[in-house]
Amino acid sequence: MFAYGWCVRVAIAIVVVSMTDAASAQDKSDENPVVRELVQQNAQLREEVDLLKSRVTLLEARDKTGPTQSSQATPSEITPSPSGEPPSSETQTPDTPAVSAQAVAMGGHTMEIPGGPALKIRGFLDFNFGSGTVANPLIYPLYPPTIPPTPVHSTFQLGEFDLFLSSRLSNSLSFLSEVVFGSDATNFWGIDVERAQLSYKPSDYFEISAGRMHTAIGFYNTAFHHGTWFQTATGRPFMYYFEDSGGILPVHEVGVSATGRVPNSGRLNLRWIAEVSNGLASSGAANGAQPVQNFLSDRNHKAFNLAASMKPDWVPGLQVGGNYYHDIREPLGPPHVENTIAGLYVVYITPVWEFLNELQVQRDRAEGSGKTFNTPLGYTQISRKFGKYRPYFRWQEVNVPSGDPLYSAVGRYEGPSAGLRFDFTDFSAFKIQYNRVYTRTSAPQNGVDGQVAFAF
Amino acid sequence: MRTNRNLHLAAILILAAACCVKTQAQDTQAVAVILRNDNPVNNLSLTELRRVLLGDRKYWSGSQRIILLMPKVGTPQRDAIMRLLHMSESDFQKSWLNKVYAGDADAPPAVVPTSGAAVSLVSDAPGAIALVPPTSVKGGVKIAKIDGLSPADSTYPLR
Repeated sequence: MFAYGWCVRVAIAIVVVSMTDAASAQDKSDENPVVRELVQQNAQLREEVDLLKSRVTLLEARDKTGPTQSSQATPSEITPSPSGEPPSSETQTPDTPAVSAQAVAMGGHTMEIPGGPALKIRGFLDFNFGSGTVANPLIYPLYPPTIPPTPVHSTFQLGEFDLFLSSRLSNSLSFLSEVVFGSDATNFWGIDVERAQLSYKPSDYFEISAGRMHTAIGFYNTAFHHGTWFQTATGRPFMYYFEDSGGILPVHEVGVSATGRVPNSGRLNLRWIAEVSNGLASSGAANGAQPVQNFLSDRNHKAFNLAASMKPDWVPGLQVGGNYYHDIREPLGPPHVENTIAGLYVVYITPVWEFLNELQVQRDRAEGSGKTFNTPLGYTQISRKFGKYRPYFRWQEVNVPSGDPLYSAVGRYEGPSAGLRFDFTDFSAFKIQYNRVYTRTSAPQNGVDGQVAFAF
Repeated sequence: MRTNRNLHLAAILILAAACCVKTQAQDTQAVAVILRNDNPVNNLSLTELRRVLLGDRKYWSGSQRIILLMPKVGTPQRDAIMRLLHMSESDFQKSWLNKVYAGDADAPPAVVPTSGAAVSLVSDAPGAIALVPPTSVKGGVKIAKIDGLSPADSTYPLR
């Protein structure tokens, strides 16, 4: 009897719970006809208001793109809300009517160009606390030709204050720039225009960009830029250190880059990349020189880089690629040096897993000597997401042989890093990372780095 | 007396099961992919749709730019997209932000507040694509098949 009663109660509860939605919806419609009609009218009016709002937005976008492109206006230009919510009066971008009203209120004293492009700004910042040797944090220069070696230290560090600016000039022409305010071991602030590129993208099969950009060497260098929030770890692998932080690869380039999908590549999803640039300064960062040749090249011939990648459809998340870079440096004194970089990468990235593997071999050959010096650079990194937590591990290596005509002072540094990333909001993360570094000339070094990185 | 009780219990349990099944079916309604009538595309593979949703494909054939209109957060259509991509809302937003940051996209896709507005915008904007309930489809737009299947098919993959 007790079991029967219990079963009936449970069954009735299931019925009640499962019918709650339907019942609540029906309650409204089952009321008297006047209420039902009012509810319907309300829903209809709300629908019409939403529709009118959307139409206004679309028409304004058309207006912004000018009469010649009115039929090509794209709503995607005008409601890039990172929260995924529709635009509200509080979140209007410079494209929206709120700014027009503001312009009127300010007597026209705004930077808005009627019918012209709008500038969008997003920022990234990281704040660190580290303890240990040069192994802390790994974004610190390991090979600073102009900075004395770093002693054991504990310190707070303000990382890169990164302003990302972008503007769409027309349907297929856009501009982006990354301006970074940052400090280093000297504690002075510096401002770097890390990227500034104008891109023309007429189709999926051809895009061309000119300016200063990240060289398409390997995967990490073009997948991640200066905002550390995007990166799982607290910093870049050794091999992709920026040039002014002791990196030996041409991470940045000033020149022209073209890319596109390979037609008819089907499920392989192939892409090609071809780049021509000034290359790095022949003397590198020696004597405090700026390694990236922004304005004047020290030689007339140009560096080139060819790369290809594939993202096969049958393994979502897998990307395989390779590159070949060639340059001839002309340092003062020594003979010219032929500098080539060839590499391969295999990465697998899903929302849960991240498995990155890259290897580059930099080959420096002093012309006339017949001697060639090969520098292997590589890393492997694996991480898995557990909710808001993502533990990770990385092993990395750079090993420049003694006698290399360009980078012999760098020597070898390799070692493991292990850490944990905690995304405490959708756009901010805390990371803690332990690093151990082995070098050719000193005892192993250790460091721990805590970092808060966020987008704003 | 005992037979009556058993019948009573069985009837209630069957009713409960039917209600659960109905609720589940309502949660997995088909989502239609709509394009403007003059778009030459009539069929998309799931892979192509994923590429469009992730911004990996930016143009239809030729130079017609794809305008992706995303449903509002919390709608069944948006949930179906996240299931298709095996992503959380946060992952999806981060993916698009990364795309913009890498220079691969100019902006994240627009969010349209209602299905009615999405239908209307798709009918207005060349190259637009949106995901809506099949019942909200009206004139000026067409439903693209996914892997050759339409929303009425039982094996339609986008639910």
